[in-house]
Amino acid sequence: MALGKDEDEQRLRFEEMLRNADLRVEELWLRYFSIGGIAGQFEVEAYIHGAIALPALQRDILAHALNERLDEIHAPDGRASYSRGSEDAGRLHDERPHDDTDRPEEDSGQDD
Amino acid sequence: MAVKLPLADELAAIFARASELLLTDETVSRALELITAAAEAAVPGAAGAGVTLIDADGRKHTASASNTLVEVADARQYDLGQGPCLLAWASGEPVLVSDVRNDHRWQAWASAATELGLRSSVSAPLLTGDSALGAVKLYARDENSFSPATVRLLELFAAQATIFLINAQARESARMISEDLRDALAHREIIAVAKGILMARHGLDEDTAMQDLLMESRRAKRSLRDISVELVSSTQLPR
Repeated sequence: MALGKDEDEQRLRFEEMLRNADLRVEELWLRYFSIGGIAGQFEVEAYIHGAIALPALQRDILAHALNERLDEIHAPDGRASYSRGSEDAGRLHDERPHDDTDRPEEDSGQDD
Repeated sequence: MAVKLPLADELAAIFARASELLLTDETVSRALELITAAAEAAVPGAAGAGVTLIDADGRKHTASASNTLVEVADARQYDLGQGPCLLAWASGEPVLVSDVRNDHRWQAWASAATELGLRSSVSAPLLTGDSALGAVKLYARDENSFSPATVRLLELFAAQATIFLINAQARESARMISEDLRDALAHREIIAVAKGILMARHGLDEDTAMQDLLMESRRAKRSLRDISVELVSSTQLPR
């Protein structure tokens, strides 16, 4: 199954990082499940091998599960990446409750 | 005879049990009785058939026997700690005894069998993966009652019995929720509660709340669990 470009990049990066983690798929899945992931172990395995796509949020939870493991073992170089949407939505509601108010550039020059 | 299942299998087993896909203990012991009866009926000259089960701690019991002679003969093997069924279980190979009087593998068992009027036997292990659950056996009053063909036949009955036993074990495992599963569920619950707090506090949908938790965990360089625990305790009013 063909994945979108971003998805594929995220997956390849994930696969690479998983190799550093010394973690069996069952253990990875348990961590993923423990932090709220909803895909089954079989699906996670299929995703790692590029056989199926996972929704962005599930990919990010999986990446996070792996990254927490890498943090725990103080792995030196690199972490699994998150989906594009997650990087764009990287704001906290406590700090900026209405993010549609700050678009300063768009209306400039339209005043007159 | 608890089997340690991977968590995903464990969950699947729990749901299978809940929806009655796994056989009950009664069904399994009925199946063993039928297999015992079939084995006895299939082999001319057999004095009886039975199934011995041996658990992880080495405890032995006869789960099914076509008559009391089989039960007594089995009990003698368990008491003596030796005999063809125990060897079949320990070695994972079938054991054919043509004539106990000429078989020097077990002195004590030979005299016990002779006293009971038994001369020959064949035992096949109940094999599952790399371990054995016990053995199926046939006893006979005459020497040379069984051939290599009987051995092959009994192995087939053993394979059939094993299928039922594994099914029963999965049911047993599903009854005992493991510590791993309990921890995982407790962990999930904390995160779910934290998600709910963010949803209520900021009017978010569930996925966005989860994305925010992930973001905060990354930003603060703290685990998702720690972030969640903190959020959950933040709802308590100071006393």
